[in-house]
Amino acid sequence: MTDNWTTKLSAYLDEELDSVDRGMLEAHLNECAECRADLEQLKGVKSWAREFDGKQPERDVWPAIAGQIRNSPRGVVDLGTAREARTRRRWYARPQALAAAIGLLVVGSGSWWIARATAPQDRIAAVIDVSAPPEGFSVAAAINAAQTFGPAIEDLERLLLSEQNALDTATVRVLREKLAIIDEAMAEAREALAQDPASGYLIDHYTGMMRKKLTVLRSVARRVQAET
Amino acid sequence: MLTEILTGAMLLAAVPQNSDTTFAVDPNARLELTNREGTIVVRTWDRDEVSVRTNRSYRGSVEVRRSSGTVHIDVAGGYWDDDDDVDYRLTVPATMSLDLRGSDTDVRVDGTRGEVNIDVHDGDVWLRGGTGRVTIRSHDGDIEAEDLEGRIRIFNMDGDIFVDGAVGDIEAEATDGKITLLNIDAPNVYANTVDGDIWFDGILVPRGSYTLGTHDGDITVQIPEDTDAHVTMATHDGEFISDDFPLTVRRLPMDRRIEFDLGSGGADLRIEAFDGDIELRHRGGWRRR
Repeated sequence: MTDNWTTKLSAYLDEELDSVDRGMLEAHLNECAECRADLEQLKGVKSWAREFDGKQPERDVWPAIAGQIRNSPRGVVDLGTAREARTRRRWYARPQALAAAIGLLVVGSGSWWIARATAPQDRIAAVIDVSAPPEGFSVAAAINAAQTFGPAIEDLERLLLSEQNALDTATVRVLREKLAIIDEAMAEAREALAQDPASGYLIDHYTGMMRKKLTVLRSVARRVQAET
Repeated sequence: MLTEILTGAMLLAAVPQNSDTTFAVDPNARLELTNREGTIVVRTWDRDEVSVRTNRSYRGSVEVRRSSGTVHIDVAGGYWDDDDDVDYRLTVPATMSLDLRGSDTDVRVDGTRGEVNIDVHDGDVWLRGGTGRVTIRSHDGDIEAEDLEGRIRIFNMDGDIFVDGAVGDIEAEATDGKITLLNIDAPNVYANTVDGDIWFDGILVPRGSYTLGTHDGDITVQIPEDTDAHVTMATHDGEFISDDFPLTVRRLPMDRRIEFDLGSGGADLRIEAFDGDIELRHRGGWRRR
């Protein structure tokens, strides 16, 4: 259940409340553990949105992936098959209410893994199969997706732009230009999210840009596969 | 009429350079053509025949192969250099399905009533007609299509998408280009671009789903005055303009989206522009060409 103070947490974090509201909210926080937890998670989102720069995640996912590769005859892992829901689900930025989504993301078919088979073409094939994050993400799920999904995007981008592939210079130029457009959009969305971490729209928009980048990369990667 | 060759055996026929050939074909067969560089122009007729013409010099030969249900046209042999581009002029049965591909190739198809798959790497696409599955992909070029019906998928990485007249499910994705959808009568529409405007003109059917989104661009939606739709909108840095529709807006505080109903709220319309204005208008002005 959303209480009246939940809607003011973001403004409180941004120091936008007047002294009366701030005092009343702080008094409420002393008595409401749920709102205190919400506030801490909003702080986490702001921090993540400001600091995330697409680098490798702190959490090392490689050991689990390596285990699956060793057991896979083709040297690639079976990737998650979470499909984009046709019905948009609206996730409001209330962390407690979205904890179940985090659980589903970790335990269920909503996980994404990077397959690091040896040959570049195998790696392209594996990363192509990475499913895009579904729509309607929660705050925490968006962070998790960025941490586990971002490296897959970067891996595919590096593979396609490396000298090992058969892309002609014109294609590389166009691809770089379009990826730059998407990267700029993602950076702007992240900056906006840092200012307004409670915005479900911004969370959806950010993950939407991530899906767009993967769509572009997969399209080019499939062409590389078809021509080699 | 030629007998269709079963799987495992194909009839090969080499078409001499710079010459025409016409052969009989099942009007519901599928035609596959890959052109590395040049143009592909396809027209239709009411004859159960395919006419292939090439009118540019090249060093290879055009091969026509037929397997069960499919006619394959390709260029074989020769040496590919900057002068080896091929311009195809085909006339096919209107009901024939088309699968046209190219690297540096412009494609023009006029009057088809079959399924269409066009995939070009660097080239413009113009299509009139298409029924059933209609898929158009271009990595660098503009896409223009008219009179489509069915499950329509259009993807353009670097260029605009323009559709005039479409019935069915529509999905249009661009990265750096605008999306224009006119005279749309579809229960499901998804249009998304990163850098470009979106213009939608059409009707919203009851229980239909319409999602229009851009990161950097304006979105204009033209719909009938008596539209019934539940509308959800969001913009991070832009304005919402609705001079034609009187609205009672409810803001969703946590979501940062606003929503309202037009009429009885039958269809579901979602409009999101991160950095751009959103305008809702009564339909008018644009009509089918």
